[in-house]
Amino acid sequence: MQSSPLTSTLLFHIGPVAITRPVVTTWVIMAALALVCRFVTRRLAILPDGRQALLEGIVTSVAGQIEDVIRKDARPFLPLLGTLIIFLVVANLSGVLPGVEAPTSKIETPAALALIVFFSVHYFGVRERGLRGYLASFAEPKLIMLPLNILSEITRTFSLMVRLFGNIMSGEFIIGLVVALAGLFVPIPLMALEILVGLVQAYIFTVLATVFIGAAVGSVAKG
Amino acid sequence: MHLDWWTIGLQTINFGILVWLLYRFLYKPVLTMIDARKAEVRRQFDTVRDFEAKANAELAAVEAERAGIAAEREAALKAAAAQAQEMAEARRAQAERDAQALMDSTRKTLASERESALDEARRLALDLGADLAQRLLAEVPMQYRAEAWIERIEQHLKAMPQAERDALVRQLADGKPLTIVTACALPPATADQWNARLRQSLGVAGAMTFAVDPALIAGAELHFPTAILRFSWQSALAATRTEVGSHGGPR
Repeated sequence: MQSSPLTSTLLFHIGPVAITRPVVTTWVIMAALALVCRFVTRRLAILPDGRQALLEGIVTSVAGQIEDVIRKDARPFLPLLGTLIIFLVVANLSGVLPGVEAPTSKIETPAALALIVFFSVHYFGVRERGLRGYLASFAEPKLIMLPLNILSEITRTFSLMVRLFGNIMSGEFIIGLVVALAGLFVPIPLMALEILVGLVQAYIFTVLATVFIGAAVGSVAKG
Repeated sequence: MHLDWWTIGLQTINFGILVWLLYRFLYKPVLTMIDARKAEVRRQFDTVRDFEAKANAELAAVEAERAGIAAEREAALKAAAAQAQEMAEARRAQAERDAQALMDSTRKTLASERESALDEARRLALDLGADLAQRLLAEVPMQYRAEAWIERIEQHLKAMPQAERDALVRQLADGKPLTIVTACALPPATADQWNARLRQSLGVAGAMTFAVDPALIAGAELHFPTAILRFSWQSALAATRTEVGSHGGPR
């Protein structure tokens, strides 16, 4: 049982850098994803087999979702947004494995992802519209909206972080409590629900990030 | 609530690295392969389109050639039909000409045969008439028959131009005889009468002899040394036969 669901377990230090459990779990996930991707993409052919067709289907589906939201070519956004949903799905579902804590159940990982989304939104906005055009978009539709737009940039990033963290953390916390109170197999329905919640949260986080980026590049109305 | 900034920084870096890793091992190969497949599909589509264009061009050429063959066939059929029609017309005309010639030839043959049959019938009729006349005349006494003929001879000599009669008389000069041929022998009195009347008609005094030729049927002939005056039915029948033979006789 965890001492606190809000703190990350420190595993070791590399010099002054404290290496916590979410970081290590993320490294494992990164390695697994890299190896799997390297393995499945080593022999791609013009005529795809079932494995390649599935892989291409996943990539093109993600790209299609991005295009549906942004209504522009998805390729510039695919590495960021595609990696975001893949990582979030794997990270959220990793908590289901025995002895593994989902990195997203600790505040630092959602915060890091939210920060990445925050800066990516501005990066794509400036790249698409130019610095002046992008900054001018904060004064739309009226100049009086400028403070609210700036504030919304922060609050929506904060809500992005908190939504993901709260859902994943609460799920793991509840499962931990039920395991402690009722026994080993009782929380299985809750774990199934947690899988669904993990998938939904990964989708929501990614779609919101896509919408934010779409708003920044001007293809989606700010709201 | 405590935030571990090292963890936030590391997770940020980790996510950046993961983006690069997935771009390197997932998105780039897959998108490259998709692009290659699209390019291949486009290339094959272009190739197929080129083949289709070539096939359409060849099809059009074949259609044009087929149309040309059809037109040529049509023209050949028309020419053959026209030639056959022409040949049929020529054969029909030739057949008509042959039939007409055959009909003409047949008509001519029939007409000729009919003329020959008519001539033969006329000759038979003449022969029959002559035979009947000869039999009937045989029942008439000789002096009556002779009287009729001597009168005719006298009328003929009287009607003859003087120059011709003088030419005949000159033939009897130098005692050359005038022979009188009759179909049957004249009684002596009749012969004397003929002798006297002829001398008177001709104005000569020379000798006259009598001869008999039953072929004359009836009548007489005056045989001068170089001329003969015929007053017999034989000569009349001969003249009639001549007319019948030349189709100039009475029908």
